[in-house]
Amino acid sequence: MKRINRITFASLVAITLIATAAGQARGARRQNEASRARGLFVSKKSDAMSILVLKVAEGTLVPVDPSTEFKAGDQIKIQFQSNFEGYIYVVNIEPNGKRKVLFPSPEASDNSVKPDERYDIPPGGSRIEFDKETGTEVLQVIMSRGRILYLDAALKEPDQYLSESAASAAAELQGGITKKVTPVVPEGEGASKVRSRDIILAPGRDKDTQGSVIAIPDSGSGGKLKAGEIAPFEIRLKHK
Amino acid sequence: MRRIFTVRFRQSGTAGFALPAVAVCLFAAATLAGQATNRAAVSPETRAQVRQAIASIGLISVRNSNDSNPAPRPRGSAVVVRSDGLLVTNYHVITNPRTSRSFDEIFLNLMSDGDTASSDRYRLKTLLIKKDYDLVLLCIASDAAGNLVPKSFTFPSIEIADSRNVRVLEDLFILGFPEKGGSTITVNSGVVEGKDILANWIKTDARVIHGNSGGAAVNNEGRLIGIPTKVVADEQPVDKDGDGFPDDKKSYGAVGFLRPSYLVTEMITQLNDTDVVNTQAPTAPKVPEPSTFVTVRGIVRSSRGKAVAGALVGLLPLGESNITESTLLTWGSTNAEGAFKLNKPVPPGRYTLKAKALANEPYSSEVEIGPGSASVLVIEMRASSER
Repeated sequence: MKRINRITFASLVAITLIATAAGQARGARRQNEASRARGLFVSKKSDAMSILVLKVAEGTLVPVDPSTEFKAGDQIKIQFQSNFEGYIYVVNIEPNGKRKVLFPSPEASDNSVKPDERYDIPPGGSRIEFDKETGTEVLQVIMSRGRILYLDAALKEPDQYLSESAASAAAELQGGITKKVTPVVPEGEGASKVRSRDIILAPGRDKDTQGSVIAIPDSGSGGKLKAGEIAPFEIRLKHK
Repeated sequence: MRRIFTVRFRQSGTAGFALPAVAVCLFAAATLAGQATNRAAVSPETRAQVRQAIASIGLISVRNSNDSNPAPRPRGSAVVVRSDGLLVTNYHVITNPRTSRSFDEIFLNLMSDGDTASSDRYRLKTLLIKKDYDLVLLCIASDAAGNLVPKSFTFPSIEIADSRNVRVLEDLFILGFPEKGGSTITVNSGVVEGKDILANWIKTDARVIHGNSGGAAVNNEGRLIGIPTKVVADEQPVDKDGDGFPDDKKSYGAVGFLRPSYLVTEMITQLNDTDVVNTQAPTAPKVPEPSTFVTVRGIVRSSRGKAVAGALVGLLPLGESNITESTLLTWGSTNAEGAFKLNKPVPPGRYTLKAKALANEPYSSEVEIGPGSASVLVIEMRASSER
């Protein structure tokens, strides 16, 4: 009986030590991932983008953590920068499920993005304002080398809403895009409201881009998107 | 969330103004081009078969017993669907809009060739009304003077096609007696622009105007595919004098709506089965009333149990694999919690369920929607990154 107790106690100590070591390893891995993601973005060894959520406070735009709880009347702006030439789409999924393309703008003659250029959503002096419909607003960000046809088609719809007509809904259900199979990567530390299955997400570290999130496709091909591949992730903004 | 403009109001307004003008020009050009193509594509066989159908189209005229004018006044069109004199038209054609009751006397003018105003006039008797579909079956009761028509008499009748097989962009021809066309037949052509299966409509770009109601829309074989029933025009207010208030309207085109001919077939079957005479709004056994339709809701989640946001979910007829605007019965997309509500209620029954979401494998399954006020579906999608 005593022997059994000693073995059990020893096992518990061992399990605790292993769990602690595993936790520390996980934390270190997350930190490494964040550093690696930032480095890959800057060095352009991988296709990547940096996203920043800005909120109007006392008349000026200040960076905020995406996990901030927003309220009706709050005004925000999304800024992003890519290190590759391609296409980026930002779709707002409203609390009622309706989907609206926020970027690119329907007025833009060319909706491709260029490296190292900063893009504002909405452009110019416009802002996005939280209305009275509470819930979680999802910003679905999609990185791609090529155009995504059903999203381009939505730019011609009234207010850029997706699947408003039977024809556009049928086209989306029937068509679609092929995507490279990629492994699941855990969320980056500090980006608790950002979800992805196939992108490394890491918090920005630069002092002047506090609150930014770096996104890199973890496609197993050096983080470079191939033709036909897309890399989507979500930013969830809570609206109370 | 909504986008607000804190600056550049004028720039945005100019772009918004310029766009409709361009769209209208494109629409006009496309319409003309489409019509030219249609005319060029009509074969001599088609022309002959459509001309043959003209003989079965008649002009409906009506009068009330207390009318001061003894002459019946034209109200719309009708089409003879059986050689014994059974015909179909719209319910609103034989109904007085002020009293919502049928006119006291209803007549049909049939022209042998459709080209001349000379015609034979008959008195009609109402047999079966379907207010929901705005359709009515009538029979020829006598000639205009009240003399019975011999039973051996054969009226020129049209053959009814199965409108469920009609496909988008197929050619069609509208036959009838529009008010602006005078007292002879008027024929024009167009294409099937779409179908609304739940609401029982076929949409067309062919011209449908006052007086076409109750007439015929026929296919290339001259067979009945629909009854021209209504037209929905796109009219927008215009501020002509620039005072900031609209003082006129501008038309940007219209969509014509036809009642599919299979509804006529169902009514004839019902008439044969029940020997119904002059029934007010009887119930059809095969088509459920809208009140029995079911609102479909559900949840889309990943195989790991996480909500899938932005997934598009739709229902198709059972076994249908081709997703088009004609076959997609109802659809909706998921919110942050993965919850969705399809935009149109559907009759209880078995359907093909389709779902699509970014970074997930396309989903397809058969589902049974049971009777009741709402049906809840749970869809589990497999991430395309899973191995």
